[in-house]
Amino acid sequence: MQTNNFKPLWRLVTLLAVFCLVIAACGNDDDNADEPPLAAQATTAATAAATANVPDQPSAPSEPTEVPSEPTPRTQEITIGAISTLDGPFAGLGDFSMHGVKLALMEYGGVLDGSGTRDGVSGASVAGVPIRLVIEGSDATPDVAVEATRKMVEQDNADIIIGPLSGDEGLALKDYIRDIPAVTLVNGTSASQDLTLRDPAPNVFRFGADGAMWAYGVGTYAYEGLGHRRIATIAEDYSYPYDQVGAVLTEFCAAGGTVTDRIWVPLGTQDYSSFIAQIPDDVDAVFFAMGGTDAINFVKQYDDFTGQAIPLIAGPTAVDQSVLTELGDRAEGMISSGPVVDDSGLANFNAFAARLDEVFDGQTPNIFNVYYYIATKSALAALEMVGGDISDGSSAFQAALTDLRWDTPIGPVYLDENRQAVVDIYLREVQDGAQVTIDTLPQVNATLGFERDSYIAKGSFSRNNPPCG
Amino acid sequence: MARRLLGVAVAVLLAYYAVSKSVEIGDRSLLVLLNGLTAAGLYFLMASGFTLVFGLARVTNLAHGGIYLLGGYGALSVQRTTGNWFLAVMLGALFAAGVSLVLYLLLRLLKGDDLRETMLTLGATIVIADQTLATWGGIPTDLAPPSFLTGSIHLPGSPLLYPKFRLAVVALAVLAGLLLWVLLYKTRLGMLIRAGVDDADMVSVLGIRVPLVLASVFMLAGALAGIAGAAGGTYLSLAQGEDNRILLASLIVVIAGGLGSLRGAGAAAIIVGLVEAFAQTHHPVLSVLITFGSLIAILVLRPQGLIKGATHVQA
Amino acid sequence: MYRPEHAVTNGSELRERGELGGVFSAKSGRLLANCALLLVIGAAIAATPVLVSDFVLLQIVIKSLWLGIAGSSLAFLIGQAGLISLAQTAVFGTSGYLMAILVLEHDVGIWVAVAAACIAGPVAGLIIGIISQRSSGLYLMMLTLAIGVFVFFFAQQYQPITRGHTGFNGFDAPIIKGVNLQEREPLFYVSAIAAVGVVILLRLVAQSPAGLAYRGLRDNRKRLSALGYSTAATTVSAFAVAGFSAGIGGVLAVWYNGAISPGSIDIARIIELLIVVTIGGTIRLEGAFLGALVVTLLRNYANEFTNRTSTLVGAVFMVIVLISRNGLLGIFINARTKAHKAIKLFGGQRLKAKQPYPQTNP
Repeated sequence: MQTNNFKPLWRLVTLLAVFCLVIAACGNDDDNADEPPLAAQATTAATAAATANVPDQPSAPSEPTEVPSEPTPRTQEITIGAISTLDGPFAGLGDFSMHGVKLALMEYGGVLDGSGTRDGVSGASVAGVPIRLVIEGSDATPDVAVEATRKMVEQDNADIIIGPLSGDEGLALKDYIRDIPAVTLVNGTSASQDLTLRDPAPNVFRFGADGAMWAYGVGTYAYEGLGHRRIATIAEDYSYPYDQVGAVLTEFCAAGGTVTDRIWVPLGTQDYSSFIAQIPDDVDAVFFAMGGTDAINFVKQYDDFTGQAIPLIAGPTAVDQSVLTELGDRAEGMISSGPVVDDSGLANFNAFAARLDEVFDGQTPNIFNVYYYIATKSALAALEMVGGDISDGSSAFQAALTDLRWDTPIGPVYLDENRQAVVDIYLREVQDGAQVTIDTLPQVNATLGFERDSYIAKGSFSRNNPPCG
Repeated sequence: MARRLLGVAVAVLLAYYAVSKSVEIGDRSLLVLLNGLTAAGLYFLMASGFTLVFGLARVTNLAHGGIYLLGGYGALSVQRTTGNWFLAVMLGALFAAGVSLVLYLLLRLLKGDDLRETMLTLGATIVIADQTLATWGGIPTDLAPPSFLTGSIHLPGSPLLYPKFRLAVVALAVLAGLLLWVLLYKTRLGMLIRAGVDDADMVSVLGIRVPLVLASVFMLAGALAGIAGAAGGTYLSLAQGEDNRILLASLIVVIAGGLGSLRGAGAAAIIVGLVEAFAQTHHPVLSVLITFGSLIAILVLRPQGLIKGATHVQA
Repeated sequence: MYRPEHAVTNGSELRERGELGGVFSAKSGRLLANCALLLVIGAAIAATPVLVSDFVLLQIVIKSLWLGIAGSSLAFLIGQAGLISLAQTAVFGTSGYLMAILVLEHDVGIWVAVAAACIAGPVAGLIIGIISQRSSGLYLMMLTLAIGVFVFFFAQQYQPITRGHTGFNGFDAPIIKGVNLQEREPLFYVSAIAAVGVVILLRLVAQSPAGLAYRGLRDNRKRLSALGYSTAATTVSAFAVAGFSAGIGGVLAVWYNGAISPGSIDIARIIELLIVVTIGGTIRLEGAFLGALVVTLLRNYANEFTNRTSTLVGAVFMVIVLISRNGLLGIFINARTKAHKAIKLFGGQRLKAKQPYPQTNP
């Protein structure tokens, strides 16, 4: 090869280059030890906290002293960053989420910048402090969610994060946000139990229920109210459906029922026919836990194949109002439990529904717009309580959030010691395309009413946890 | 020789396993068979167009899934305004054919550079997916089947139900296969297409306007994908991400069958459909691994697929 | 026969595109300039953390570096050996997952895990190479796509090993003698050194006799085997070499994300890696880093101009494919060649093109 004669020299040059690099690297590292004030604002706190790995201390007293060079904290503006899934299979749900965020801000004087999902809200203020909204999207993968959130925190100086939408994104964001105590995450609809149940982070708040809580009550109702004794379950194969199936089976089996099959469908399946073929003939009901496209595909195909000879009991998001129109008649009469019903008659709910309809042209309440609304409004209410002052590293604000109690559109809410909400859950039935209340189950907590330590000790729900019978 | 024996032994073992598993579930194995064939039907509609384009134009059209989605959504819009399923399918197919033609015109700019053509279709699939999201929204939806195909029929000799529309999909695929055969073997255009697959240079030397032939094949492939989209949008659903799912499935079929071979696509569609249905029934959690594992196995044993297609493609 | 877009016919063309040894291929008199160039690169790397904000350093620069390292493995395969592999995320994922599993599930020391992950890269590459040794061209592309998707589904479905859809969270990058790689600057230097190291290593391979065999594989398989080379062995070894850098990319990605899940290696990521390499151009390994930078910038900032980020990314990608045979790098090199020709036209001294090499293709 004609380059052979250069080889030794080439080696020499590369060695030299690497040597230069190493020297440069070390040299620069020392320089930068005196530099932090240059890179001011939240990032300094972020890296400092990352290094020190501050444990559960929402109001770490050492925090302000580490950032001495900030004479004027950002009293002029508070930034809220909202994250949801704006790309990929859940993109439609992302739109709903942002409706909720914007409605809450509009109650504080905000005006819509435009009709697009990424168009923000301007003019909102709390206690005289202007509120700015920035919006980022993910594609429901944890990596992208963390990057989008990091951009809002570091580039846009977001003080409060609203979101994310899906369970595993939530777990990833918890790990990220834990290292930045001055930034507060108020969860959107991430329903992973372990966002708050195990190893909670001091600056992560959830004003809604988790996946297991959403499915509370329907197991008992299936046994006692509907008289079912044997059921099969069919659900997507990941953590959020594990939580729903787990909650249902925990109650159903405790009541004395048995489960014959637990069928797990890999994510990404569109044709359910061969999974439906596995459902045995001799069960009283089938519990299914799916979301979005999967729920529509499954219900439609189950209906085509069996004519719903064996009745379906639905998971909370499978018959959420966001997919109910597309499910059409096939969903009529389906029993489920979940956070949102259309006939609660609560004044806050009716007001919310009316505003939603008016501002966003015919939209109706569903889990996503209601939950993102509650998250945003909780944050704004707590900000109001501290006079819009988060200059103490958000500790007063986070304390106010922790103590916050209010009547949301879907019932009263307050937080437990892990900053997880205790909420009302509705047992409901689909009638004429709307969710109608069968029963209200008040004050459902994260351990579904079981004793805390033993409940946690049972471990996360999985493909075969809980055991049954 | 030893290799052939090994192959036979493995085949016998697999067949024994499949039969014994099927006996376990009794007459439900009929369902598994039909499910496999339905899937095969949809895959064939996709794969036949894909493989024709590949055979003739040597383009790996990664936008084929996007065109499926466009055909389906186009049909949806028509059905929402007219309420007619057949009209919807036809206009949806026409729409998909038009998009496919535009794609062909773009590809012509690259003058037969394989890799860049593939990359261009990859870019197109990203743009198409995002535009369907912008136009039709992210909430999954579907088409209503025509009234006489709504509901289910009893399978003969068993209490099991099977949806009429799924059987219609199988029929549709068979019909498409027959029409393609007639087109390819009984018409002048078909003759040109086959000649082009065998030796494109010779065809152009003979004074045939190859670009016109290519354009018609692209439109044909687009129309087939559009029909598949409308059919899939009827018995499955239309949603973001469906394009990648169906593209992957039809790629498996095309590759396993042998790129450029219509017969191969037909055979592979049936095999892939059946393997998938079997795996989903008996090993639900690992079913995707089994499907892709089988493809890898086929390609390791026969690098050019089951039926050697467009031979000139391989070095 | 299948020919990648840059299968070339003579040496002077190669030289004009800067392929043969790049900047080092010219007269030895230019060596001083080259050394200076490397020093400038070194200085630029050293200065980067001062010049850019902490955020840009992490989310643009470091991200581009590890994405570029992973991309360089694909650029190497395509550019040198003409093998279009969509299984590089599988290698990437294997290394990343192995490290995460060893540390988080089995309490193995971080450095043992890193070493294992670095070995796992070439091993995974080797296995993929063995599986696909008989394929070439678009068949190889499809076979490797199947492998890439298989590994993604394995990560998602085989829970005993991979924790399923959730994957591994809370992975802490190691601390070397008090230098904490969870901090941005140290992580940046490590990534930059890794990037330079990977490029140097891949170039050394490319300039060795093995590299000659790879280009033989790319340009004319029949002639290569007529010369007594095994195309299978050549393919397998190319995959193993590329596996090394994909594995390094996987390790750095887990340090960067602090996590790995099936979402890190799904079909969108497979496509993204191909886009990175295509945008950058494959005639030089550095193209992967350029492509990674462009994609990362688009992903981070495009939504400030448009509601439709993906359409913009797709359109930019299509335009680059349409106007350039070799991505952005091709555009630059074309411009340079034209500038040189212009200089020549005005009587400037340029080295003469050597005698053309015998044509490799009729």
